[in-house]
Amino acid sequence: MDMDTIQTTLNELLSPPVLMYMMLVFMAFFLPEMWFERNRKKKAKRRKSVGLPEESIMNAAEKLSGTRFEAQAQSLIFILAIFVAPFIIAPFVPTAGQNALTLAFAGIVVWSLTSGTDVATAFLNGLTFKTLIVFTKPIQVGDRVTLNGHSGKVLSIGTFFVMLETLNDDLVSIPTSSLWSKELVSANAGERSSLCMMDFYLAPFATDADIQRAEDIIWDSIQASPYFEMSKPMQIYVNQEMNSIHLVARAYVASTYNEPLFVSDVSKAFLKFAHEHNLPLAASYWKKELKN
Amino acid sequence: MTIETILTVGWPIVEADNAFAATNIHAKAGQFDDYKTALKQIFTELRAQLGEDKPMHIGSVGRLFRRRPDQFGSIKQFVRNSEKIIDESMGTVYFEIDAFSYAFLKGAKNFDTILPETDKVEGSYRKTRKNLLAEMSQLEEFEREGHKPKDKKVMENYLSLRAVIASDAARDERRALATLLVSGPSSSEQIANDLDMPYGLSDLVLPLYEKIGVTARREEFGETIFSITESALARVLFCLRETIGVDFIDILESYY
Repeated sequence: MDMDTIQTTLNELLSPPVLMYMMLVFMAFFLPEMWFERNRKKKAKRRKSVGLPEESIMNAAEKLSGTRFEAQAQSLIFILAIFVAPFIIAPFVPTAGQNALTLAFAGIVVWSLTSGTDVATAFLNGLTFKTLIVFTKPIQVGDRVTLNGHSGKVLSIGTFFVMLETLNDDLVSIPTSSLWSKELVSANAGERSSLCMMDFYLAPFATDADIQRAEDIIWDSIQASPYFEMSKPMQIYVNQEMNSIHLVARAYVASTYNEPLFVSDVSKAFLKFAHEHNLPLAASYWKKELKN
Repeated sequence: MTIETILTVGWPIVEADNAFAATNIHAKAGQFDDYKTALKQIFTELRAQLGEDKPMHIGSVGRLFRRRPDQFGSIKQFVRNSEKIIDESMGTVYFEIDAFSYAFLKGAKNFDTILPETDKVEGSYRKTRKNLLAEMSQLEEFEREGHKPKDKKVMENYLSLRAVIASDAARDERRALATLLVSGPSSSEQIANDLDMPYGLSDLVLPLYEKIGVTARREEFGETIFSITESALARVLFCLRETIGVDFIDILESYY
């Protein structure tokens, strides 16, 4: 390739149609995010004016629908700008300019997917991940998840970071682009309720009647808890183990965030009953054994 | 003939001399060794008293249980035995039960198979359901977007309840509200026992709800009891759905 060809190609790349295309791609990257940010601020202002605090009590539903819409809009604009815009611009460009446009198109795709800057790669990977989860829903805003070894509630799924709030209120920012190759564990998969497993241990000498009484009180305690999700099934299993009789209760908590409170309600009622009715618990058996 | 159920809202006072109140019937039958025979005798007498053609309405069925361990025995005994003894000769028998007590009994205890909701009589729940849903929808729009409801009072009432219940620390306030909704009129002591919370705390929570119009107090059998007011139902249902996560209306409408 001689110098003239390079000079001509450069001139064509700097021609108005190609610059317009580049500008469109650039705007598609930043304008939607700016627009959504503006809307979020407007909504916060409106909520404040009617006496509502910043944090909505409709965490899951509200944020989920917002994120879904934003991700869909962002990906649509992104696809339109990169892939469709050149075909709309092309008919208005002279033949020589069309080569430059094709070159720019190919360049943007190759650059952004392979050798872009870290920021661009993170952005594209993040945006693609964000778009993908909108449709496949492995995790959603409001879910209780385990990502990259951190467990907590998903506060937001951004293009760059997924924000988690852990049980001890730590905020963890996980790079969205890093989630491509990781296992995503969600306790509730977009649902308000989630399954909760609770373990209870009776002493190995517990009689049939003791086991039945334990099952009954666990059953009643689960149903009596305000956090119990009534529309889902519950079960209790009994296992014989080396040093105890193990009862496993499987019930749904209506709001996944209340799982510790649900477990606490049920455990408290079970322990109270065990104490009042001399139900032999595994721990008390071992205490007695140790004393002897 | 199966017993059919009419869903109601609001909790009428149970008069001690109301022969058609489930609590009184159960207490009377419980005085005999053979509960089932006594119950049949009572129902036969009530039918004779009422005449053959009139449908029999047994009220306050929801007052036979409280949502706490070991408090489901009475309603189980009453309903299971009623199911066995009520036949063609008893004519039409309706059990009236609060809709949200029924939602619990349906979801947790499968009582809807024994006590299906009737389509012959429109109870007060069915009459108010549309308004409840409309108000909840307004509250959802208000909470989500900050758009004011048409009625300013709806907004003010909601904000006053929200202030009590929205905080993550409002655990007992939420539990007390959910218990009042399902177990019905309750004294401060009953709420404290049901939720295993300090008596003093329930003594603070219930008057707080009364102050913002969510509960109203009344005297029943010499005891001060609190119940959720009908006007506060929509905001209570909405707040419980969004905090505790239980959607009582959805349970009522679902088929499992």
